Amino acid sequence: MKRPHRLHRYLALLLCLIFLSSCKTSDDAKAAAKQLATTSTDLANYYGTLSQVTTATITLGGLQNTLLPHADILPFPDSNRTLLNTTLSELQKRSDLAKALQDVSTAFSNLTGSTAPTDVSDAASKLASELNTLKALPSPAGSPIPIPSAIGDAGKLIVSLIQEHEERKIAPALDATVNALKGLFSNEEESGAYDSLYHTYLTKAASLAKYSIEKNWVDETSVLGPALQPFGLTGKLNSKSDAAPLQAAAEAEIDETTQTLDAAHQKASAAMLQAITDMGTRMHQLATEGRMPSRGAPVMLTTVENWINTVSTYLPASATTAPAAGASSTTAPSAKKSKN
Amino acid sequence: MTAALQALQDQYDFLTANLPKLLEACNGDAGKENQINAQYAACEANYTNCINKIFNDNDPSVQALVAQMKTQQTALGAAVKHIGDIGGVITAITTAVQTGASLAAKV
Repeated sequence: MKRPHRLHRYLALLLCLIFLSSCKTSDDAKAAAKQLATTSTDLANYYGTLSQVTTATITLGGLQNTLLPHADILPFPDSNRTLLNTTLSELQKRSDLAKALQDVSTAFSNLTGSTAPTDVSDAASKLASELNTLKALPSPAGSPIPIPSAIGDAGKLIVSLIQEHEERKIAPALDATVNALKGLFSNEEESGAYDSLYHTYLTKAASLAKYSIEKNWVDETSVLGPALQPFGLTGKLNSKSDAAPLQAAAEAEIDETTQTLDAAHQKASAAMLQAITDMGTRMHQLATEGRMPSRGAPVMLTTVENWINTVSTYLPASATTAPAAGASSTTAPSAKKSKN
Repeated sequence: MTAALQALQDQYDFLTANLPKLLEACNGDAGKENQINAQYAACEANYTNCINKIFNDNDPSVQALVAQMKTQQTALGAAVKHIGDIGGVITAITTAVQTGASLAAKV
């Protein structure tokens, strides 16, 4: 008499275990997808910020043309502007690719444990489109840095799987995509391209800032701020000769800030690579073991976000539209034959 | 960062930082200003052309050029200290930038 009861209990227990197991897998997949979406968002913002930096470098080139003494030959000719515009275009494509991966990750997160919503196939189509437009970084005189073909292959697989609502097969495809993306990022990061782009922007800005100080186009009393601000006082210069120590302090501040900003970006680019690497490990674990216990996006993303936030304080997106070739980017008087 | 990119970046940094000073030292001589700006633009083009490449540090000729550029960088630094001789400075810059162009062509 007790046997059927025991059988029912075992059966119920087994069903619960199966149910819990499938819920766990779905939770892990959802968590992984959300983490990937966060990482992709930061990657897109990182590339977007580097694009702003490159746009600002172009603007500074225009300022060099306008402010520095020159005759017929400009320090920043249109041919150099074209080279930087090509780099800018490729950075923007990488940003768009990361945004597309973010959309797919979010869609994957929505897909787990539910019937496929229409935005999943929309996001997948967008990723496919971005993958098709992405090219290697330009190199006029040599072989381009190639986009790993695995990105394209894995992208096509994800699109197809999402369209077929094959949730369990998507994790391995996303695993391959994240790893290919990691290969691309690490190739360019370790070659120094990202750090160098930011560094040369800072160098150009610092050079023009110091030139502006020497020309008395800057109010150097701002360096007195730390001493005066607590008491609500404002600095004042009585004569040009008073400015010498303040000019020296301002130039020293430029050097110090340049080093600090440079170091912050080096940490951010290394952190971005580490975050993508960690995400690759997590996606691989989900794809191969069917589970991914980590919760929360990779912690080092905070370093990337801090750098992006800092840059946004002095390079607001709206103020960094690349000027067209030949256009003057400033209202300052031309320095052609200028001796000021 | 690869040694080749570092060498090109160092040259570009150096000329960017010193460009206003070099142009002022021309005292309005259009010919000299043109020479300096042309070399600066060429240096920037060398750097920008190479920013997107993967450098092969194992290539002995690249390593030799990197070493050569480091020597020239030192010479350039010394020349700028005697900026009164702007003609000599322009010669030093031209030599260094030409080496940079050779390096950019090899990577």
